[in-house]
Amino acid sequence: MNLQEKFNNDIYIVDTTLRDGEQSAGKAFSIDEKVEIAKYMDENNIYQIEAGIPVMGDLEKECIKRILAGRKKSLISTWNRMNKKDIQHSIDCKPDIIHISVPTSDIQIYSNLGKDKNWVEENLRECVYFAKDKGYEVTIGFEDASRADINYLINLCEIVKTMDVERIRYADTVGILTPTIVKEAIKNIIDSTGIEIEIHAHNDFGMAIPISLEAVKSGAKYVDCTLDGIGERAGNCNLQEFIRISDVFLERNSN
Amino acid sequence: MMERKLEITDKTLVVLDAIYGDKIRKKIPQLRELIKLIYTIGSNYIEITEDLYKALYPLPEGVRFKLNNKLMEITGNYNICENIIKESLYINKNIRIIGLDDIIFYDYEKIFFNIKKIFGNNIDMCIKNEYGAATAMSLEWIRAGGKKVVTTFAGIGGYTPLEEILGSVGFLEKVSLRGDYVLFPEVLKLFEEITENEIKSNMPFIGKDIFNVESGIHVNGIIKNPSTYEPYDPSKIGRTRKIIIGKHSGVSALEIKLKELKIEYKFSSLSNMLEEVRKISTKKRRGLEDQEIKEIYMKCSNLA
Repeated sequence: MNLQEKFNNDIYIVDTTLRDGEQSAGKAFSIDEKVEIAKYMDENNIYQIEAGIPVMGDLEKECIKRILAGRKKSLISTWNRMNKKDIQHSIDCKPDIIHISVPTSDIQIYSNLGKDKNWVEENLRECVYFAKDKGYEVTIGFEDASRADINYLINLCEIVKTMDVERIRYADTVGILTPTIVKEAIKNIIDSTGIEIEIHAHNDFGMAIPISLEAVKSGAKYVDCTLDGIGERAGNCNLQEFIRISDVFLERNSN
Repeated sequence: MMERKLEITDKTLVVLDAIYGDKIRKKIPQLRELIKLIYTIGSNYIEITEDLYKALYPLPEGVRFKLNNKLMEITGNYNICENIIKESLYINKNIRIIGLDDIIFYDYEKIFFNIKKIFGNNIDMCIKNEYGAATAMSLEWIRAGGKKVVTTFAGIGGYTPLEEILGSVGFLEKVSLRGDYVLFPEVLKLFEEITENEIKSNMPFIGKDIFNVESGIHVNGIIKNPSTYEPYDPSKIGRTRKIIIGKHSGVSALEIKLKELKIEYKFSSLSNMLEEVRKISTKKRRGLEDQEIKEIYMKCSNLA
């Protein structure tokens, strides 16, 4: 089965089974299983595999290195909180892409982290520079973007664009988006900044697939998925289902 | 919360009957109970066939029913408005539109606008789920002014899931409906008993594990303020949050668990314990049981 060959030019799948999928409570893959899943994704032309979180420790890093050593085509990325320690652990693994997650909503910045927007912007600049300076491609994850002020997101896009970051992840961290809301948000960010968008949907209201599809219709180029839709709470966008459905969408669109 | 009139017709019984036939006819008392529960959680009408009416007689009291032979059903996809047979508009029956699975591929706002222009907004909208968009599109229909939707519990038969519509309208649209969502687990239990099938544990609103949490980052956030990583309060749907200790746990979660197990620990031993938790969880490919956590504590405290 070749999962993605037909529309690789139109929708780029980022599989996060090994990162956000594994974060599903009570789930833990063995290293061999993770390597096997990554191999399957690679063989099926999945554009990018989010392989894990290096700062979690030596086992995780060993696993990511094995995935990197065995892959043929897929790009391998690692997930990091916005701090240099996390990023240094990623650099130890030598991935293709370093993904840095940035808190963007007030509840995340002020209430959860006890910080402010100046802290976010300063750290963002430092962390992007830290990874870019060592030659890495960097993508930025806007955590809780669906509850953030859209103008603040646009401001952050402008900052990272000046540092040659080309893609941001619009994360619906608590799964509260609906199609019309995501449409407006994605169009607004693209029209204002021209940056590339990766949609990261959760299925709390049973809408991860239509939200992802609507984001694609609105200009998002990348879609985050997990095998069987595993992930936090009600899970993420289901990889197999999204491919089946977006395949029909693209076929109709080409007629 | 806003008050708004929304009429939900649930056709779970009709679908169960079509799928399971004689098998569920042996479970009439459970079906009567299911009807009461589906009505209590928020459906305004329970749809039945004449045949079911006879089989279930006497029907539970205090519940409103709809007989499905009183409906004019129009089935179609995204181009439904172009394919309407004009004569059908003059038949003196309530109209139900069925299908529209694929409107997510198109300009669904325009499609709903055209449907309203032809039929008004007081028709039964029964969106099916072939492309995973039934809840999203039913919600968009409600947002566009639609007053009636058709559902089934857990989306059985490929319809819009009742619990997802109730949850979306209540928690996203902040519209107050009369239903008691706390009974969701009870409906699930009975539904699984009748169908003899277990529903996926991560299914929105009714999955047993949707408020289990393990990731250190999420546990930290939730301790400070649950809405950091939860879209709504689990108690509103009759569930409680459960912290799982495993590969992705952080120090805070481990401390909570040790306190829960009444274990007196030294802060300095937590990082060693966490390392051990991660190793064993990875090896066992799952979260850890309380007894396993106690053993790790003993080992790391040199008490074993």
